[in-house]
Amino acid sequence: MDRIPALSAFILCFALTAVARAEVKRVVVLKADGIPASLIEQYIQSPDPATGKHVLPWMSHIFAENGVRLRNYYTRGITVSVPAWSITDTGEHLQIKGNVEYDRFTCKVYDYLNFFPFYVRYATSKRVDMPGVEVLDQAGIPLLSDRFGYGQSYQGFQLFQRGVRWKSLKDSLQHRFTSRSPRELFDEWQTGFDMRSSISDEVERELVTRIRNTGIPYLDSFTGEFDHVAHLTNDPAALVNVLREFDALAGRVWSAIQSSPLAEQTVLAVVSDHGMNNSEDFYSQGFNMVTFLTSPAAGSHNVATNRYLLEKYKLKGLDPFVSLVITPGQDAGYDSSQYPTAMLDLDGNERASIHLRQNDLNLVHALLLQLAMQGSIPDTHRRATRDAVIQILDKHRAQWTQVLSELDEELTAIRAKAARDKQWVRSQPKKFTAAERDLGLDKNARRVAARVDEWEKELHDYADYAQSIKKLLALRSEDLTVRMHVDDLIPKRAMGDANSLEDLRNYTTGPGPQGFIFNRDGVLDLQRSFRRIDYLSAFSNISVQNNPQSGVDSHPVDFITVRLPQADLPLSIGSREDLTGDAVLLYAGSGHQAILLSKYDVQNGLRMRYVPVQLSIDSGTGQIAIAPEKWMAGLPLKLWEDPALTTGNSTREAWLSQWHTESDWFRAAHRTKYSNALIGLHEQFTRWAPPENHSSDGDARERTLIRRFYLRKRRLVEPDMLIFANDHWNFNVRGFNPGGNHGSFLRASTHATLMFAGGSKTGVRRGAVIDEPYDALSFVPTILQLTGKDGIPVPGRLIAELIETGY
Amino acid sequence: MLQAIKQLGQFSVLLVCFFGGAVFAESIPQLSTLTPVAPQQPSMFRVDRIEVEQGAELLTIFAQKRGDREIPLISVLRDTLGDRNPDNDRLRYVWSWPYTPPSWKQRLTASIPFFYRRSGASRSSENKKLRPLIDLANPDRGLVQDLLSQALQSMVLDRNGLLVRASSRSYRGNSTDSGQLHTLQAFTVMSEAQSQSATDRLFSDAEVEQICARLSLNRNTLGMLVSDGRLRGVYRKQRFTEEVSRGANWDLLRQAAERNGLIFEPLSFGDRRPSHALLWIERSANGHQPARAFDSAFLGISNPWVDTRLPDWKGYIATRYFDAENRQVSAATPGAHPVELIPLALYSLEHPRVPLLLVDFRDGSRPKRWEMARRAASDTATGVLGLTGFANWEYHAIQMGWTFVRGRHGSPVDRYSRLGAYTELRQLLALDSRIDPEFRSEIAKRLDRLALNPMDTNSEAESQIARRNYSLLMSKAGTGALLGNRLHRDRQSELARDLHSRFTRFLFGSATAVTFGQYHHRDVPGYSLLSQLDIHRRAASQSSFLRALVAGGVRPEVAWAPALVTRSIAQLADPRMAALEKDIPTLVERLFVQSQDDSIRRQCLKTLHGIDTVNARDILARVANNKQIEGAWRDLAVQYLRGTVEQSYALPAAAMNSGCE
Repeated sequence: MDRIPALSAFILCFALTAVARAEVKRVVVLKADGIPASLIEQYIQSPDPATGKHVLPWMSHIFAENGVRLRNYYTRGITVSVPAWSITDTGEHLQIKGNVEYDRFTCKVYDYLNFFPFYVRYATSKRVDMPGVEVLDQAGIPLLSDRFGYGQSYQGFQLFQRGVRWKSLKDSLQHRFTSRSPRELFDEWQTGFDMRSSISDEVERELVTRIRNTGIPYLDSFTGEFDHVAHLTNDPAALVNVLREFDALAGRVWSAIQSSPLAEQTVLAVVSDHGMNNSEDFYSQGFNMVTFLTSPAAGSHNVATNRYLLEKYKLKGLDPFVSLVITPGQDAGYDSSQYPTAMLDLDGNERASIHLRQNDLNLVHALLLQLAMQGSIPDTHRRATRDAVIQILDKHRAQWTQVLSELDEELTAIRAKAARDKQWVRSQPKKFTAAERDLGLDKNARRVAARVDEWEKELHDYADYAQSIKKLLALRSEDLTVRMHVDDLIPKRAMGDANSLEDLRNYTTGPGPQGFIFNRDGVLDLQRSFRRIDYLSAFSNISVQNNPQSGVDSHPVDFITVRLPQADLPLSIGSREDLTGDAVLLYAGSGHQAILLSKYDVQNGLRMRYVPVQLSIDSGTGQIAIAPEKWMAGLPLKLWEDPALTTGNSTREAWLSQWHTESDWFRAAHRTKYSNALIGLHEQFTRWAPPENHSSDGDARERTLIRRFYLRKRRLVEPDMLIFANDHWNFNVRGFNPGGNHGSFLRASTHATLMFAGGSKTGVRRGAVIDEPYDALSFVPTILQLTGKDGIPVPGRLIAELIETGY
Repeated sequence: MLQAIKQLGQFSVLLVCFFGGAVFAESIPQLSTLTPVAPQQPSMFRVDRIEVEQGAELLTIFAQKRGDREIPLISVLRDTLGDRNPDNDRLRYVWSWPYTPPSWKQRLTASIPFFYRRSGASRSSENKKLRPLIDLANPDRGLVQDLLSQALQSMVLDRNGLLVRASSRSYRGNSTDSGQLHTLQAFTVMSEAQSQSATDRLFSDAEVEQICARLSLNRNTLGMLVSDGRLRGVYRKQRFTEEVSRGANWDLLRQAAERNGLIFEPLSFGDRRPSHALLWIERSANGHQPARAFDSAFLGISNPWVDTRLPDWKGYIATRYFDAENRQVSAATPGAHPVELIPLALYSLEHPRVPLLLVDFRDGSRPKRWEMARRAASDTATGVLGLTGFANWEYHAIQMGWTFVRGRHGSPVDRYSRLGAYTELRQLLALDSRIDPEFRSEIAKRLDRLALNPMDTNSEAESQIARRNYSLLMSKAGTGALLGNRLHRDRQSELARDLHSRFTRFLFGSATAVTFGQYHHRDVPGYSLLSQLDIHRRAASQSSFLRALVAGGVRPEVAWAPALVTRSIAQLADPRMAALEKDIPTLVERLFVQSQDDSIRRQCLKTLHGIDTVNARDILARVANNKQIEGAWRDLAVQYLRGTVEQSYALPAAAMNSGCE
């Protein structure tokens, strides 16, 4: 094992030399959302009796016979589109960690999938880029297409999209009608117009036209059709049909490349962001987390989501601009229009990201409501109740004060920068010349204006939150009277700080059935006065009565993951100072828990260890104790019992009990049921710092504060719990996804597609299959190396086997 | 006098349009010598092929029920021109054997507005002409009659007072529903037949797609005009939509059952995926149902938790066994525990958007009441108030808005989809023999209440009608050359469609009418008809195949085996085909340019030489003079132009003739 890094380095050097000699002048990338490698592999080899060829003849021809396909290519991180494409499109670690994210302080919704508002704002000159691109821009992370310069690339319509080509949309509509005979139009009228395909047809038309142009070194096109169909149905015929369409597209693009002047120097790549857990034998069963969280058993939460639940079939559900919908709890203790207490993403797929309002904020809110209610608390106990409020506030006083102070600094810096940017935008011409537009100066000006606009909203929202917290902190015991206005004190539409593990295991959902209980010495017994829920148990114990499919577990939840700060780890788990970043707790029920630890050093890079543990709660203090456990079956990820885990000459116990590098884990576990879950979890839970901003705008302190503000915002969108579904379960609430899903670390969902083929001068091998496991971080560095942009530092591993030996 | 003649004319048209029926009248093709071919033995169906003289086959799908005689369901006539080459086969008629024209009593009651019940079984159409459901070779055959009927309704009948409008609208609605019901039945049968294993199939996938798509398009008047080239897409779209609805409704109902403490059980018929589902409630052991909340959204049934009849339920009760994971298992499974279940409702999962309630076991008339209310509303608007979409745009707008809103909220607003769901369950129930007979009878009894059409016939009667109709067809076998004549006439018409414009054909038809049938235009004498049609059909099918091949501008040999491509090109090496399909030389040229496969390119040049038209020779000359083309190919083109091509260039005979006879 120790020799592997050296060997890898040698192969890498060799490959780099080979790449240096290869001549790649253009890369064409066909991006296909959700196409699993297993289906491609199956159908490029299956014969089609009707044609005498394979079911996917072009894929077979281009990649199996004349190219390279990676048999073990995986998503890195959770397998939902936005995070997955963010890695594939940038080659950088995760900044965006869900299809939808919510800011805990302001309830701002980052809805990365909803393209409609973006198109409207683009049309009204208020936005230039899709929301995902805006976040990456704030982090200073460029897209792969940006690496080739403005105007030097062609980008299809996709999630990480810069700008909107109205001309493409207009032409697509025009071609929809002008490219068809009246007879064809009549047929379409009778059988239903398919407007979706008109845009993809237009993108293909443009792509093929631009392939003839030698001056565009990077072109890509995106299709989400497979993902769309595979979510809806598990009918193999429907999946094959959509794969055949993609195959035919690949054929047309390949043919266009072959007849173009740069045919010999062009590389064609097909890449997907994730796999798809779609099986002909099973419908994916949905479990409605919104209904669960709003039920009294789960705390009667007011649940905020990014859209209306499709299940209700409301007309409002058609509103594409909606950003926050609150479903009231069945027995909610707080005003549902102002106080959501849980937030989750409707596009759950095989995982649910759940935010709960900070436990003590709930507690304070409940206490204040009782105090403000005439006669609810006997006068003799009011003082004890007031003391309890102040006591809770005191517990958070130092931390909240520090957050407010830091936030204030950051907002001041943002305000200054926004003012300067605004002035700069004003100085820009109202109309740009054609030459300026060719350089993208108009877009740039609009981009800055959009950022200022966003900052101004954020300044307002964060200031509101800060104001409420300041009021809370300023409360004195004597202020807590029936005349106080609770709504002025508790921040509206805010979740507050993240919950700790202790909070989640002992979460306050409202006053207990017996009301407030006071000790003999007159002190309010907070533990007994409130209803408490252990959410880890609550979620893992969910069981359904209706489980009509044999082979599907009756428990929708597989395991729950929670961030575990280093400070909460006991010494028995390992020496704390060695660790890098926080640990991740994986909870699959009582007696089935484990912790993922990680550390980083220059010599070995990232190393990880997976430790079985047992959590227990001290009944007296309510504190959580974590003790190491023995390896056994039934732990989250089921590594111990998975026959596909390869541990070399070591015994399982010995191997699993040690620290291993990322690549060792990858090679050992990628064929297991949960494939690269450990690497994915590390990617998901690590707070990756974006590159430093070395621009000359503003002073260094201001840049630091703006960067800190960005990092804070990223931290604020982290959910309390990431819940993973059992096989053939999903947490979708926006619609039903009975066909199949992704989102988990099940190999069916992580196993993605990556294939290359190139002209004779590119050096790309022919008829080769790469078995070495790679993940999405490897895509961009490989493309950059191929195109001679090897000086750009990106973290991923180069796919060394791609290039012919000795080329 | 003139007024009287006008009225008489109107009346005649009315008779033709209305009592001609939704299914067009055609004389029954009789079978000549019938030669049974080895019958197939699938589980739920049997497909039988009977060869017919003059080059055709009658393919019949029979339903096989345990302990019962088989029932003929549909037959399709395949015109093979008497050879084994599938390239020149054409499907013609589809007969639905359970269908028979309604009796006078049925027609009469169908004209009574708001009469929503069955009015007795039809007579079997003995001594009558058996009518095909659809003519696949000429699907727009009934179009003019349909349009005329609609125009007559709007322009004449609707303006003749409430009574005429309401009764004629009522008749039209019932008649259309009756026709669609049998179309939907045929669709269900064809879809079922396709799901059988490939070895049992006598229909190719393409044929099933064609039949199902045409049946599906038959619901719209103008749908009959959709080109054959679109049929595959129509079928796939329909199947996809069904699959999507099935999956979404499956999960919607399962989640609704979970929310309400009920038991969800998917229901499959034959080899199909679950197309229906049952909701059950656990029978209380102590005779008292525990009270609990009930959310009736999308379920359409009343709260069973407060239903006082359930503790003392006298109806059907099933016992199911579940394991510890709540999965249904067999009684013998270790750890299985029995649960007694009371059926609450049965739903169709293939209905768009939400499951459609078909049977409410506690309130048998509930689905019927809803259906009657929907129809009554529609009949009041159109029949009584005379509001139609064309004449009253305000009504049209309101109706569209209402339909959209109600549909969005999950109401079953589409009458055709509701009819489809009812028809499908009726059909599947009649065919399935795996469901507990007692329970099946319970379902069938309740489903029968949904029969609101006076022209409708119950399943038992339909089985008898189907057998009698089929026997009628078989009994006439060998008695005459009617089918032969019919086929002959159809083939002549087919040839005429290829050779003449619509106007010319109209003139021929007029001449036939003027001479009272004495003159019938014939393009070719009978003895050469088959060979002419063979050329026409092969030219059409092969050129259509080549058009698809060259469409993407890609190399044809990548997606298709070169042998199949060369075979297709080889078949076109006939000047007569080039005369029919003018673009054949151009297609062959494009194939030559796009292909890099030697065998295909050689065959392209050879075919151009075989076509031997000015255009084909021009193309050969272009190849010969094109400096960008390799010398060997240019030389070969020159040799073809000079007629001195060496035999070594010729393809093996087997490649040329495979599949052709």
